[in-house]
Amino acid sequence: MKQLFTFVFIGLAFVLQAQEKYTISGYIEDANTGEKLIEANVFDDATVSGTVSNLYGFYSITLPKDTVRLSFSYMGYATQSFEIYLDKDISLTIRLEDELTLQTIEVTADKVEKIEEQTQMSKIEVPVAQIKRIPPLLGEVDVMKAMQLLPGIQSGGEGTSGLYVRGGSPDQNLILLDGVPVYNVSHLFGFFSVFNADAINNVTLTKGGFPARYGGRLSSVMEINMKEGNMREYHGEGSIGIVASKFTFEGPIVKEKTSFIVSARRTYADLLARPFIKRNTDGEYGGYYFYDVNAKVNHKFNDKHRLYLSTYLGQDVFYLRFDDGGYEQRAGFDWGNLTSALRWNYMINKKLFANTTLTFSRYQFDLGSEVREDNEKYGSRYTSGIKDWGGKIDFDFLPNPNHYIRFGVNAMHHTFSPGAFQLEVDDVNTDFDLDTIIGSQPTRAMEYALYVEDDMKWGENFSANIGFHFSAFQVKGKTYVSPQARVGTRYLLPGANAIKASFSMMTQYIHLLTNEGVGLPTDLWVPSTNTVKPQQSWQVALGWAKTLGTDYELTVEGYYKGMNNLLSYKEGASYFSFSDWETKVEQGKGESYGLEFFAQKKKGKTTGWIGYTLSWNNRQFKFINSGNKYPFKYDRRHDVSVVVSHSFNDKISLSGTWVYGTGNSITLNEASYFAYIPLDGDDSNHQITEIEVPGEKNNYRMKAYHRLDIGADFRKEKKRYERTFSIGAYNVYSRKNPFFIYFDNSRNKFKQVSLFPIIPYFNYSFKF
Amino acid sequence: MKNNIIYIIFISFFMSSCETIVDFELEPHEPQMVPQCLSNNLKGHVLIHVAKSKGIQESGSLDFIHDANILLKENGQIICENPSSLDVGNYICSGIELVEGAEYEMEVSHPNFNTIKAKQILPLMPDIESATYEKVGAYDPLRDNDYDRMKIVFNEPAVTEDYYLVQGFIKNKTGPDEKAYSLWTWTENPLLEETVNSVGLIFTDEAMNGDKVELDLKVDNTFIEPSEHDIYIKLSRITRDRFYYMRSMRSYEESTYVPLAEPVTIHSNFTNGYGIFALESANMYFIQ
Repeated sequence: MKQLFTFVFIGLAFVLQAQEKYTISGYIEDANTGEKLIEANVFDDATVSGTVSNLYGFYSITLPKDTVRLSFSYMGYATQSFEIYLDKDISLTIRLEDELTLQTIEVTADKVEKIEEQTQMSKIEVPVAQIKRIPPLLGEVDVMKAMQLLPGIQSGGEGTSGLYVRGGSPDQNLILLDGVPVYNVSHLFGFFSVFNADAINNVTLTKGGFPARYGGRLSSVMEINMKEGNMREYHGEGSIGIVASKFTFEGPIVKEKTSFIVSARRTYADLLARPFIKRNTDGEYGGYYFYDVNAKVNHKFNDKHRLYLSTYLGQDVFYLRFDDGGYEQRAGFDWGNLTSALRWNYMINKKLFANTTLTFSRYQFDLGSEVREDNEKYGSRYTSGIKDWGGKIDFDFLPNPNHYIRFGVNAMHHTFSPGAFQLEVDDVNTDFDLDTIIGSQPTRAMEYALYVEDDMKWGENFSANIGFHFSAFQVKGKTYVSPQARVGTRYLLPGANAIKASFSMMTQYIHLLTNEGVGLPTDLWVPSTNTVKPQQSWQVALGWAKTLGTDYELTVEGYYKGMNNLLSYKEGASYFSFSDWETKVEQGKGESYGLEFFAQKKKGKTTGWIGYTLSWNNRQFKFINSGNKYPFKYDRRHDVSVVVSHSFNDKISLSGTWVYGTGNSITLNEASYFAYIPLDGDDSNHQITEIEVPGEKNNYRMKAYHRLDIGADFRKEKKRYERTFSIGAYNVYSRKNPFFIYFDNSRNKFKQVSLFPIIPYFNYSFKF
Repeated sequence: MKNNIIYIIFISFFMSSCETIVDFELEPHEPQMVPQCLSNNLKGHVLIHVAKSKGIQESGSLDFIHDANILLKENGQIICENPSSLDVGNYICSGIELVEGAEYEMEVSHPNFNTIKAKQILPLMPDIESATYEKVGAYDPLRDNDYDRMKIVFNEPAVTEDYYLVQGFIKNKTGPDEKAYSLWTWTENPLLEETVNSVGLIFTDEAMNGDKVELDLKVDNTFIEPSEHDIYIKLSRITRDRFYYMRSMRSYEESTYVPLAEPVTIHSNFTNGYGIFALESANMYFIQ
């Protein structure tokens, strides 16, 4: 037997030696802007093998010494193909032409990796151009709301930005902007998201079958990558809408070496209203606005080294001022994120690529007031938030076309500030000074992770992504560790069909204490502690994928997700109760299962998709609903979305969106009775009090939600710029969709509050 | 002028997006009997209170049910049948000595309502090893109250899932038939939770299963005069239903003061209805 092994080993080594191989590697980028193309396809017809570019446009393919027929393709770009005799390692940067600039060249995107060829399942990528065509609320294009139109992803309520992915809550989504976690994605209580579509290059959302490189949240990973800035020419674009205006400018600092992009957005209701408010009041005025700024610089040292510095700053501000000369009062609250990422790409060799990232993310909520009168000053301030410093190194290793290995480590330092109240008194007359802070002290924690995964191919039909993710969390002397297995497989059937299956385990160490439904800025991020354990989930999914013709993609996926140590407010508790947060919550389990259908047309004059989700979503906590299982608030049996966009010609396009969802489940008080409460244990002393009681938790349903939005774009090429005039309407047939329900004591009736009837919008945008 | 036009356009768009309020129809509520019976082995009787539920959208006042038929069974044998109604919907089964480990079933019926039932097994009496009272007279700023200390040591049996209620009592020393008054009791131990009206503390054996347990309690000393009062500590092993009921009542009480509080489901063990039938085995321990 030993001899047999020796023989096989020597034989194998001989075969491997005999197959001389060389590597073609480099970057794939947009020919006009120099933007890196993510997940562009590289395919060799001769060996029928291929690969894809990574997040930084890097690709590497190792092939036997022979003639290779390579094609490089990307959706919306003309495919480049060529034939060479491969007898040495080659570095090659591929520049693909955008189809919009290629009016005369036939675009052959059929080489783009088809959905059935991808191992990864439960992942959705929506081009930003398509997101921009979806009719938006008040004309403000919103990435998060576009995601809500996809199967398995639900909105919480009318107009809100939170994502409920396969039964998870919004805090279970890891939202990464250039690799940095963003903790609050809402402007104006969730009616708008913090992401400015003009600054975004690409958006992907993974809701299951998580590769090992992802971790830290239970339900989804949403990666948003900012544009890098045009390396060759200066360009700008902007828009003026009824809510906000924005402007983006990009271009080279040093041509082909360094580029920048800056994008800014601000609402202006307060600016428009201020002269009228000031005129009509005695020195008292107030307002609200939000703004955000995205900026990025990238520098290419050479083909091996590249540096990116990106930052995002966004703030919502509510303010109130009163000043009559002697007496001055200022009050208000604001909240916002600041994120920064410094990334260094290093192509170590033709098969190994490294990316080192340093990240900073801060979310802070401030509530304050200050009164000044004569020589006295009184001030109070409440702050809460979370601050992260992190570092990570990720490696991509492509030894041959059958293996794409990724591995890496990361560490993150969290500082949780779950609410501190500062009181300041300064009285010159009495020499009385006070400056004190009351409330929770910041909690510091460290989170670590390491991972390894291999996206491998076995033969022509079978591929798998097998990985392992290990994470640890240290807080207040307590250490949690979590090994997590990740497996995704694909089997290609005859006729461009594929069956896919996946299993993934996830652990989440940080939690959001929130009022479900409304994205309040007071939402509080808190860590796992000695008493509050990390949330955990495991998910299995089975799916079928097929491309019909060249234009249509079909997927059907079924999934089951089990969740443990989920966090919920105890019955009777609220964010507003004055007690330590750990005493207000309890942990329980949840399950979510369902079936998702997705048909998408990505090419042609008419594009769009139909998504349908049939799902069940339950929760069980020991002391909620008497320990009985109950439907989650966002248990939505049916969820349908239809998104269609049609371009009549280069100048006019129409788009429409129709959504339908089963009503949210709610708990309503249904009856009242006299409760008998013994006081001393011998029945001689008791109290009789009226109590109002709900039935089982969440056993009522709001009315179904449905809505039609339409929009039209009118484009015109001018001499030096292109302008687009957009008009449309949200909720065209003015459906009174339920937002919340309350009991009107004066009339003994439940009332349903609906937020948005038909809301028209217009928007003017330009590009140069 | 330009600003005015922009402002008017802006306001008109926002005015059109004002909230609208419409009626939300709920199925009419069918009135139900709500029996409430919390009893223990020390009372010598079983008191049942039967209220009548009213739909939240209905007008009119709340009421009790005075002519319900009540059946109480011990291990399948009837021990109390149709007790007469006292005041405000109270019914009393007198001369009942509840037996540890026995199964009790309560059935409440009425011609106008569906018959409802609930079952309970009386838990075993807890084994108190010792209890002490210490005059401290200290001030607790969190409760804004002076307090003394009570300590109790008891043996928590392994294997079983147990629920407890601990209470402090005082009785006048003037005679054996004096009434016992419960004391406001609290603790820093996060495993213990206060009950509605703060007449005791409830807890589970989750973190102490099978241990010898020592509880350190603070008691309101406003009314305690050791020379005039006998001091008792009562430890009860309560049923799961009683624990859940007391906990939900406490949460309900707290939620009435808190904006946007999560709704509280009052625990019930009557199938398809409201109400509670819950038992406890109490050990009243004389301290001094």
